[in-house]
Amino acid sequence: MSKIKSLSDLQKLSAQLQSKVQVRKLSAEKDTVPVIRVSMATCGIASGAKPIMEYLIDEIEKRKIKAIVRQTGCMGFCYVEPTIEVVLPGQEPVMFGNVDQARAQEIIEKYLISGNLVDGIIPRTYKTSNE
Amino acid sequence: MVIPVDKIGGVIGPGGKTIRKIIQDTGAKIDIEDDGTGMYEDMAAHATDPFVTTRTTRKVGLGLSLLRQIAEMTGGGLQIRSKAGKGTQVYASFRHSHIDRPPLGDMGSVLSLFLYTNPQLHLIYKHIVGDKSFYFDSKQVAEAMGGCSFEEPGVRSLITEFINNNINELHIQTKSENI
Repeated sequence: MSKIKSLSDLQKLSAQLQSKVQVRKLSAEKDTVPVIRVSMATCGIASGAKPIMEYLIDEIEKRKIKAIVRQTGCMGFCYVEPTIEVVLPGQEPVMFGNVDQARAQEIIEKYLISGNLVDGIIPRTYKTSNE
Repeated sequence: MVIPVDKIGGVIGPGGKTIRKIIQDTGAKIDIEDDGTGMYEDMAAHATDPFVTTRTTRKVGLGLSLLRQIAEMTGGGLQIRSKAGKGTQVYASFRHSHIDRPPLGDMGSVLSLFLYTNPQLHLIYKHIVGDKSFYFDSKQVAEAMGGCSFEEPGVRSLITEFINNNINELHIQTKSENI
């Protein structure tokens, strides 16, 4: 495979993608699919939120899970970055802290898919650094 | 150099924006322009104060303060112009040869991740090295890909590779000319 360099390279490769993968209009389904929000302020980025976000996107694509991954600003838990918030449809949001790759995988396998809680939850009684 | 993506997303409007990076023998520049909500004069004047932020979850805001610190550390500087309702321009300059200048980082993955989470926004990225440049326009690219969305599976890695290959090419050509 030669290097992707021109717009026509992109055109060819994306056409191959579309034949294999169903076009998803996930944003339109945001009330019926899980939403994962990754805290991507300076505190999050400094703690490695970007590779975690990329890992989450790659994993849900690989496992063909219907879920939306979005970035958000600082959620106030700078001391346990990277933090992510997972909202399952119709449920209260759950925050997870210190999310490394292993924990991200556990969250996808146990919480996102089957709704079982895993380690790393930030209880609602915890305060943000502003309180 | 990492541009905090949450900062860009917070101020951008629907009409497009330009991120331009210019490297010359003497200096490096990062210019960011958007047509988003803009800032009031008072806010713009104090935007690089680490204790000024619009967020309500904590009292500090480090993105622009750190960008200014890094720019000044290398003998450069930071300038912010903003008008409420019109948009914001951030200009940061660096001495390219300065030992404290951090590497630019992985622009391909930063921009493709930004487009993945903000597929509705119009992003223009220009990367200029000497007299050569790479121009990335998210609308143009989406059209070339048959109108497919940046959040479709597999598209993000294509975009990352496309941007990084083109940026690398600019630097390779420049190096061989210098020899």
